[in-house]
Amino acid sequence: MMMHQGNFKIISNEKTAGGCFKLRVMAPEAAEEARPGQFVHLRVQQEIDKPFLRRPFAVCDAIDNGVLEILYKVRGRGTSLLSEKKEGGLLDIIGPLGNGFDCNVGSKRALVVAGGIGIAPLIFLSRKLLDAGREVVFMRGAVTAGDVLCRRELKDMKLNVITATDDGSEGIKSKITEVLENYLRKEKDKEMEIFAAGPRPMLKVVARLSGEYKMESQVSMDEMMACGVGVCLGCAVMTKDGYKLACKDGPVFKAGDIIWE
Amino acid sequence: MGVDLSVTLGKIKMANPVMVSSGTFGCGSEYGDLVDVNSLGAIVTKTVTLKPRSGNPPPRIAESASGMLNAIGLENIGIDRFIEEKLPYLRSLRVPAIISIAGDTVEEYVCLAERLNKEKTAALELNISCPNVKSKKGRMFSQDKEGVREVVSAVRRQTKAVLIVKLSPNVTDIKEIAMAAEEAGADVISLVNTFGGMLVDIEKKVPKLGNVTGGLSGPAIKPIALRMVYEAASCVDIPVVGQGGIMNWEDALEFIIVGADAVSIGTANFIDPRSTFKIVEGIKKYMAARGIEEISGLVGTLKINRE
Ligand SMILES: Cc1cc2nc3c(=O)[nH]c(=O)nc-3n(C[C@H](O)[C@H](O)[C@H](O)COP(=O)(O)OP(=O)(O)OC[C@H]3O[C@@H](n4cnc5c(N)ncnc54)[C@H](O)[C@@H]3O)c2cc1C
Ligand SMILES: Cc1cc2nc3c(=O)[nH]c(=O)nc-3n(C[C@H](O)[C@H](O)[C@H](O)COP(=O)(O)O)c2cc1C
Ligand code: FES
Repeated sequence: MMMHQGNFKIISNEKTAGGCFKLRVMAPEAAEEARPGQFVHLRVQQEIDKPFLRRPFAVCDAIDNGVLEILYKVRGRGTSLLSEKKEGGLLDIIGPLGNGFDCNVGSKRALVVAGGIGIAPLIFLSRKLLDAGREVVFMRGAVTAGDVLCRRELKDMKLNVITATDDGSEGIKSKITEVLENYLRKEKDKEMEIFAAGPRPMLKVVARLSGEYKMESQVSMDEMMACGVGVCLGCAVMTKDGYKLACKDGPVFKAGDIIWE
Repeated sequence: MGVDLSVTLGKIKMANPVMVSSGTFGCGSEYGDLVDVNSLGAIVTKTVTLKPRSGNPPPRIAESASGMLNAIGLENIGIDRFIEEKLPYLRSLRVPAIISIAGDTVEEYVCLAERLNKEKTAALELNISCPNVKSKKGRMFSQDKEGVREVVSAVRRQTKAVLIVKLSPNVTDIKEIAMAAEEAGADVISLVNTFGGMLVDIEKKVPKLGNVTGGLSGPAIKPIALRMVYEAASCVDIPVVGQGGIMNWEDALEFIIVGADAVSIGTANFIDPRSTFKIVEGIKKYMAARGIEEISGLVGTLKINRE
């Protein structure tokens, strides 16, 4: 596996739900090699400042025709500049980076748990799991109906989607982790495996639940990054075996290996 | 017109004056997919210590205006594993590898130099200026003349390898420190390491770094770094490696013009791993356009009109 750096052409950059955008770039080298859970490191502008560092984004999908998709939420300066990028422009990308999910093992039912924008890497993951003939239950959490992401992407896939919103405006009125807990309680005799991405408090609950139900679970960790390739040692995550790097050893870790505090 | 970019630092022969800084390029192979490592002037490896160090608690980095703070805390695998796992690759390169070492005590520095002597390493960089670890006296060796003299002369007695001493900018008078390093037997001085700094999250009222304070690097520090390189270069006769916020070839030339014999690229690698390559090309073009045949013809050519 190799990482690439290049100025890749933007095919589209469109607004979706909840202040998020879907960016599509033609990046055949990177798209071909990308695995679910890996990320790319973007330089959103060529000036020296604002923002200074690159920004990491999960590969939301990497389609056979060389297109790399990124789903991002506008948060600060970097993502707001990114949202202004126009079709036809070029974007400096390094990737694919990181380990990605281990999705080649077994035939257990896959419980995919997405919190907010954490859904991004889980689209690509679900597609690969389905391709491998796995049964996928997709649990998607959002604050409110207007923030529910990836409606179209999920509709095109053959999987069972359970949506939960904090205010009950769509799906179940509950935290997505409660949905997961109820599901585990009901189905605990089945062979299952969890894949999750989202805010750290959510992942911490996933880790606890997978421990209680003695289930394997893989979580994607969001850390501040500078280099993205394992040289600055800035993205440390505390694990049972000491510090690991989110950009190189991760971003996907076994939930049970992380020391959550 | 062909231009000659080669420089010699002590006995280190480099094809060009653009090296990569400790802690920003790993041990050389990490950027291998993106950068032709053999096109660099030299590589300075991540600082290695006697025992493995696990580093500081996260968050270890934070972004700031035109720069970043880091408090990595010298996480490294320790000299034994370094020799076993990293040195063979570094030896296979055509460019000089400079091994950066640090200790909590003079004895640790000496011991590291001894170990690397046995491996016949050609060049060492003494990192006596990491702001994220402190000696037992609660300061860096590079913060006073006595500290510098003590550690540099002790290592000098131990090794014939080219000795680069990396200085901290967190001092009152950099000239005094630079001269102390030269007198104590340094072959080369390199400056600057990062500037002590901090950032606060105003929502949570907590420091943005797990270690509370850290070191500032990147273009934010360039003018100060440049001033310090200028001052240091004007008072020592040994070669000087200039660094601190270099992002492009224009920055690199500023350092060379004020007296740096070579430059080192740190944080810029994170923004663009190909910065070094672009800097070498930029310097070449600048020289060719002005009919300057050798890079030495540029070093310290600053003109000051004091009329
Ligand atoms: C491996 C990885 C994959 C990611 N994938 C995606 C993705 O697919 N889609 C997406 O929208 N975002 C993703 N992120 C988060 C994304 O990198 C940040 O949202 C982005 O860097 C914010 O940049 P900004 O300049 O807009 O915000 P800033 O101005 O830098 O910050 C604005 C706010 O966002 C927070 N923030 C900044 N960086 C991060 C970060 N790395 N993680 C969490 N919060 C952060 C800050 O604390 C601050 O509150 C990912 C992060 C990592 C490490
Ligand atoms: C993430 C990071 C890690 C660093 N680690 C080391 C180190 O291990 N040893 C060292 O001597 N300097 C270290 N430095 C300092 C750099 O080598 C360099 O001196 C400094 O960053 C200033 O140059 P720059 O502005 O070009 O980055 C580190 C800097 C950064 C940003
Ligand atoms: S971001 Fe630099 S090591 Fe992970």
